[in-house]
Amino acid sequence: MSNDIAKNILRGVVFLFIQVLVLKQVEVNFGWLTEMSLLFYPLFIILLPTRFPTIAVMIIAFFTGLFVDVFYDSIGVHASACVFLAFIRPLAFNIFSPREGYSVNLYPTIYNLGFLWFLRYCSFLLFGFCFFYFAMEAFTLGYVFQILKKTVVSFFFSMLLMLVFMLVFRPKE
Amino acid sequence: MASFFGDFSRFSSILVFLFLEMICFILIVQFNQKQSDIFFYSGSYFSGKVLESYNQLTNHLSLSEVADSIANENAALLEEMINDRNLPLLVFKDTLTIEIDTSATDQYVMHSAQVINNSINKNRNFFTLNKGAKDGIQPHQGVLTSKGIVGVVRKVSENYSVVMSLLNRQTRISAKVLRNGYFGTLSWRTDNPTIMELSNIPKHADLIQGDSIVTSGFSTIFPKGIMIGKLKDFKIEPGSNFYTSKVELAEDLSNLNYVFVVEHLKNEEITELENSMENE
Repeated sequence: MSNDIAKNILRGVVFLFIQVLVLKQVEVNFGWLTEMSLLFYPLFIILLPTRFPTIAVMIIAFFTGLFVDVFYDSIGVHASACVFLAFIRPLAFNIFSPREGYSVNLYPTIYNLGFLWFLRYCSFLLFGFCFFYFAMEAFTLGYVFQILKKTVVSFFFSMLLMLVFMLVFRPKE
Repeated sequence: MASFFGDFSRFSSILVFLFLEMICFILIVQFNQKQSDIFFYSGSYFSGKVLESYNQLTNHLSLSEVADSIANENAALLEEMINDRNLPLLVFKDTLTIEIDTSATDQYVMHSAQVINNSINKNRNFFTLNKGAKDGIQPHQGVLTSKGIVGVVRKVSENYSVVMSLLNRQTRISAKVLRNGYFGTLSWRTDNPTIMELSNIPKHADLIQGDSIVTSGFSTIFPKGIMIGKLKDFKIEPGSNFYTSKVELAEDLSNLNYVFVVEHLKNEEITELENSMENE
């Protein structure tokens, strides 16, 4: 258990620094791609063990998001999207539940549950996250088209980044 | 028991979710210029909407007052128009006498009124107006709308007056064909509330279906040239020297709301003069 927590904290810190030090700087000046934000750190919340209680995950997600917000200078926007992501995580577990169910101490990774399962699970959560994030950023539903455009572009490239990470490092936990 | 705890934890996680999102919301509005602008703008937009609907509601309540004032204004305009319409005749007279007769200019005064009771299905139909002697309404004044004439005042009380509708067996209105000036008498045959009968037009007059029928101005009840209706069809009874024609009324008498009462300022003088003639 304490091993788990230590591992997750380490992963969280690494992911967060990758996000705020590297990915925040990425800007592409090409057509639609200017709308893109690479959002990699949500993978940290996505990969938390299945048995973590939802409330705990939401609180962790809140502080994670707040940390990113400090660097993005957008206090509350990332945090709200992270909390939303943590909230719909159990829903994703239910929807994409494998036939034999989940074993007790499980990390939702490609190694444990297969590529296809992870693709569905991760894309569901990431799309929810991106939509919520850009909706909160725009803060009005008057620009639904803008929000969707940003969501789709950012979702696609962030998802690509996450899959590359998962396939290259193949984390078991 | 397990399902109870399951429900409980789901419920509490929703509560925690809402709680955290609320904190995020407050943080966003507190620390981000753009979002806080939108938030406060939306707030004022919402309060603005509420105030606007409230205003609309109160406007609705005062709508009848507005309608009354517009009716009065219309009466004033119509008065001006009708008095103007008599001007060409006046000019003709003036060119003969080279003397401007100012007494003849403002002979008509209009009073606006609202119909508060109406009938069209009897042999003798009357309707009631919400204005009476107090407002200057007297018996034998004409009642009209912007489309055409509708009746003649019969009885007046302090605040109300009863008008004999055109749709009354006793109605006799002097009317003329606008195009050629032949005049006849308008009456109602008690059958159709949109049709009246125009008789006593001599058979040498040429009539066309659709001719406008207007008031002749031979009585002090109606000014001359006020619309009555359109000629619908006409025939000559065997052995008669006069047309019997049907006139389709311009105004729908089953649906009256605001009307104007015409007051002729020289009414008394004319009636007196005519009566003195009869007594001789």
